[in-house]
Amino acid sequence: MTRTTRFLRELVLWAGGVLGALCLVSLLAGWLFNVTPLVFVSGSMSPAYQAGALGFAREVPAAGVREGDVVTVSTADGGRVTHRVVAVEHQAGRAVLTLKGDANATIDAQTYVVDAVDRVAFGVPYAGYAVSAATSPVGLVAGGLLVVGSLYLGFRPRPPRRDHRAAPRAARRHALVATGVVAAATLGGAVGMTGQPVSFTSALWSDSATANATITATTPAPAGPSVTCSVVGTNGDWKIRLDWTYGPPDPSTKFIVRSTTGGNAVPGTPVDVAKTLRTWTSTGFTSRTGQIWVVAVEGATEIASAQISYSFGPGSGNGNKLCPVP
Amino acid sequence: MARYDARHRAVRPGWFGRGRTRALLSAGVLVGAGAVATSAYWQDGAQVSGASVEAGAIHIDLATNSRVKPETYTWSAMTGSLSTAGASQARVLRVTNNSAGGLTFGYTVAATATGPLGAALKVTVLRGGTVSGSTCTGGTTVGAANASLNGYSGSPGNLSSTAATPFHDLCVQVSLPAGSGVANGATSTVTFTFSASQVIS
Repeated sequence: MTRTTRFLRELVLWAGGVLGALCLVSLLAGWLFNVTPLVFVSGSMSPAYQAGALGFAREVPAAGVREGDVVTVSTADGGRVTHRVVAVEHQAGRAVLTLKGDANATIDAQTYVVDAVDRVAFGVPYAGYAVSAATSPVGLVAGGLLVVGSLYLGFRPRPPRRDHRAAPRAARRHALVATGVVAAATLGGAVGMTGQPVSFTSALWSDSATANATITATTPAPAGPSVTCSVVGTNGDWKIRLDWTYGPPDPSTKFIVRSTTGGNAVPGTPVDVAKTLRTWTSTGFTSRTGQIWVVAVEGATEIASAQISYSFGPGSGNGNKLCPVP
Repeated sequence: MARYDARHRAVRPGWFGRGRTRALLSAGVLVGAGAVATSAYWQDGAQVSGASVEAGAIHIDLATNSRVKPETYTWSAMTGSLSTAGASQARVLRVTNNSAGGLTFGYTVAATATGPLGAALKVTVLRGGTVSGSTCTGGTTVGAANASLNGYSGSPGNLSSTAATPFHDLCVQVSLPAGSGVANGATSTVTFTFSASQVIS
């Protein structure tokens, strides 16, 4: 046997032996002491238990749960969540748990009612990655190959010895090894049916953000009347006529027609107009220039329309009588 | 007489020579593998073995914020006035999954609005909607349409940080119906709270 072959043989045998011993010890410990290994699939329990850590949890009755314990609970959809207890309310035989991930800013929205929980005693960083890989389908197949390899290397036929009892003893040995392999796998199957040897738990992250705004209600200023102006009358007697729209409803009090004060005022203004009316005509006039508008009076409040310009020149013709002034 | 060779030790009777102990112990791996493989199919609906570890840190971010914690965003665009004669305003807010590492979350939107004005306001949220004048159009309605703003809640869905578009554009339309009887000058503080929870996919 060459040195490389010897080295590889030793490597496979040691790997198989150590891993196998670890599996047996942990399965036995789990069975005897009711300890469940947990792989932390996500990281909201950082820094105590990072993603990829392997935790070891033991079942405790509800009465034994205290604030500050890290516990695993089952969620409605069948998953497992492992977070720290921030509030516990004990009732007869049960406890209502409020949980929060150490790295989360907010507590979990869901509270849990339990009669017993798995409480995490300690964790080993990074070991969860190894367990996760080993329990994946690829990992299980690789494990199977490792066992086959170890058994072959450990029990393979040796060069014939001078011992004439070697042949039948070798056959018996191979049969026993094969039986042992089947028994080991069956034992594993039986253990698996009684419960999960390894669990996968989520320490689910959560986060929140808020957006604030201030909204103000404003009552818009009511619109005044909408006025149009035209020039009406006959030669020598030219007048301004106003027509407007408003409402509904009518103003509570009245309308007022106002114009520029002083010598340029439209004769008769300011003048009240009944609230149900929407038109007014002045008397005839000449030689005045200014602005005219209509006001709606609501109680004590006057709401004015836009102002309209007029320009009436001297004389009897209407060529120089303008309203509005373009 | 054969020369003494260290490799040829005295033949031991029985089972435990070099390598056999370890080979036998390796069968423990079979026990473990058998247990894991069996339990994976025996459990009903629970997480099966081999779930991949997802390291990372979660961040739900609003508008142009990036990984701010705690995050309180002043939504200036939504601050404004509405006419008591009946009016609405519509604004778009982007919600992004800025988590470190590959991480998917589902989130909810909840709103509160203070005062008598807050009690009168209505809201419609459209995921993927756009602003058209003073209303939101298009997209998918989140929660109830034209719901009371104070007490509104809806779930726009999941966001994955590794997706090509790891965000939702939410068009939020706030309206004051005509005839609400709200006084001129009344104000309301409106708060939208976005809560994200990791989803293991």
